[in-house]
Amino acid sequence: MSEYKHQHPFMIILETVKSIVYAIPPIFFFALSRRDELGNVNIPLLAAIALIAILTYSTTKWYFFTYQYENGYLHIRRGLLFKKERSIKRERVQTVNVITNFIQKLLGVTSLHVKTAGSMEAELSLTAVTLQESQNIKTYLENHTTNGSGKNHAEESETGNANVNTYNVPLLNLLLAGATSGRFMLLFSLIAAALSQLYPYIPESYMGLILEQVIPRNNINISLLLILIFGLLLLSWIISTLVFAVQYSNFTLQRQEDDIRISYGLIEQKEYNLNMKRIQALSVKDSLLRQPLNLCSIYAEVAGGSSEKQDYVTTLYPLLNLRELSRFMDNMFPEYIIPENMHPLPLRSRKRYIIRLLVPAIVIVLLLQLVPYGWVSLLVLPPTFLLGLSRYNTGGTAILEKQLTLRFRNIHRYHVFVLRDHIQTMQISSNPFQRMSDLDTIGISVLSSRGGNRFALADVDREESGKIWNWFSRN
Amino acid sequence: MMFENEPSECIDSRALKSWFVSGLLLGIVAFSIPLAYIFLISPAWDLPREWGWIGIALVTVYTLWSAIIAPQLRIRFWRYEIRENEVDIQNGIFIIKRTLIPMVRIQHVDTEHGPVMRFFGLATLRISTAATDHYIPALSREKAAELMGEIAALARVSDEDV
Repeated sequence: MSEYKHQHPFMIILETVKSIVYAIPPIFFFALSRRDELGNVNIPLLAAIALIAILTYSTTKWYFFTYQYENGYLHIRRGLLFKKERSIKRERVQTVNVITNFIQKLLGVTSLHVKTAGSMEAELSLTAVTLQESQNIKTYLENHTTNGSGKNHAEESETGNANVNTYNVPLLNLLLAGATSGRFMLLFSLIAAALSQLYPYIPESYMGLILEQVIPRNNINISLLLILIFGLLLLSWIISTLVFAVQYSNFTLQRQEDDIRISYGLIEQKEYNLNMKRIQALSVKDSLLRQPLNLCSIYAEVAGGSSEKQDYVTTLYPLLNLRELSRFMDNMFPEYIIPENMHPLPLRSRKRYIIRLLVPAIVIVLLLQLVPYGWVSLLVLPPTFLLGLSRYNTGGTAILEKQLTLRFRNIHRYHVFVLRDHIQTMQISSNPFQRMSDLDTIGISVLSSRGGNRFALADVDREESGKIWNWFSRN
Repeated sequence: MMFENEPSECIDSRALKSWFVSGLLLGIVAFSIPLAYIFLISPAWDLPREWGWIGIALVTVYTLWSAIIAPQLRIRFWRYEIRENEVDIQNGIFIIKRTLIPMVRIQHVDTEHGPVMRFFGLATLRISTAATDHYIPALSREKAAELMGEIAALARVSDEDV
């Protein structure tokens, strides 16, 4: 295998499709803005020329892109005029991700992304290799841990191995997760924004026609508007649920010794691998919509990784019943322990939690009284009060021999589990009011793919914060 | 626990002078903005002159704060201690923060100083972990170099037993 290899020729198709897809939105809007002047342009000819140009470009790109793996390195050469070469030593490789999108799946190829530690360092992607080849490269790059004995690999191929733990998310749970993901609000605002953008382009006669079908003339009332908004909400809720379910379908979490493997997706298949060493903190999130249903999701802070946002490996498990949580943790992450009871916040911090939210809310409400219908804003005060109260009730800490647990709520409730050896720094702070009532804010920093992440809990009893401080101190 | 056994070392008292001078210099630069407004902008565009006086009042208050009051408050709470296994820092004006950095987590230490600090023979010690950045301002330059060596040595030693 000392020869440089080309990727699968299907890469030409993939690159072409990619270029076309990227070109569509700008061309569409350009055409829309100049639609009066486009009448005398030979569109098929133009499209044909563009297609040939793109195909040529893609073919060159494919032809000049070669790779090779040997002697513990993965090499890549590419470029027609500007030659680029890149080598990655396999000891440096942190993760090898295999991602298959819909087109790749149809063509029977897959893409492979090689990542090294730190976002500054090079990463390397192959966009079209056969499934077999991707497994070969992956095994080759990941094999160094066992120093060439191949034992690790052999075990991996026998899936029935005793120390492999696998968790699967059933379809029903995925639908439930989608329904409670809160994404529908985002989708709703997107649809609303898109409609308001497209509105000027819809000819007035159509608009009038549609309106007349829906609303009898001179009878526009507010209830219809409400129904419309509600319908749109319902629609975006259903769509977002289905999208979520498809996106995360067949979600599988697998752990073998210290290696964790996450794979999911129906149309676009993704597979991530990470080593337990890279997990810096584990958090269990019960979002507001899921908490009444006793459901939670599990995330990790992962050190290293890539600068690309979508590749953060942070979701470890999208939906789990709280009842199953402790068994799940025992099976998958025995390093972390769910403490039996948390040390709650002292009673004297309750008023601080409520004031902290309520005072700004009252100021805003008072200012809003100056505008018509400003009194409607009074409705936000009770929920604000309850949120403050709930934040107080949620706040808690627990120290075990090697692990610190923080429980807190912003909007959603979080349990964060951090091992002592993964805490980068600890900070205890207090403002004058906190000092008057012997309270502290306790914060810890951990390493994450964004650089660093900080978790904090306000108004902890000074006695408790002192205990945590001494627990962390090595002297 | 914030006031019992606080870190033992104070920062150099010359910090006060250094902060005073840099606060004053900044204030002088800031003064030029309302002055330029009063003498150049407001006659040219016929804008009310009073805004300029408000600006001058604000800059004066800010300069007094940053050159005299804030340094006094800041130096009162600035403490640090370097122990075998960790660095302990306390700072803040109203919100007092106490930070504990284990030696094992320290990735590098540097010292740095600007022109004002150099004039007073001071330097800032910067301590970085993989996730966070911390600093001890205004140490005498010899002290900063000494601490840098000390931390670097301790950080390396602790590295071995992990």
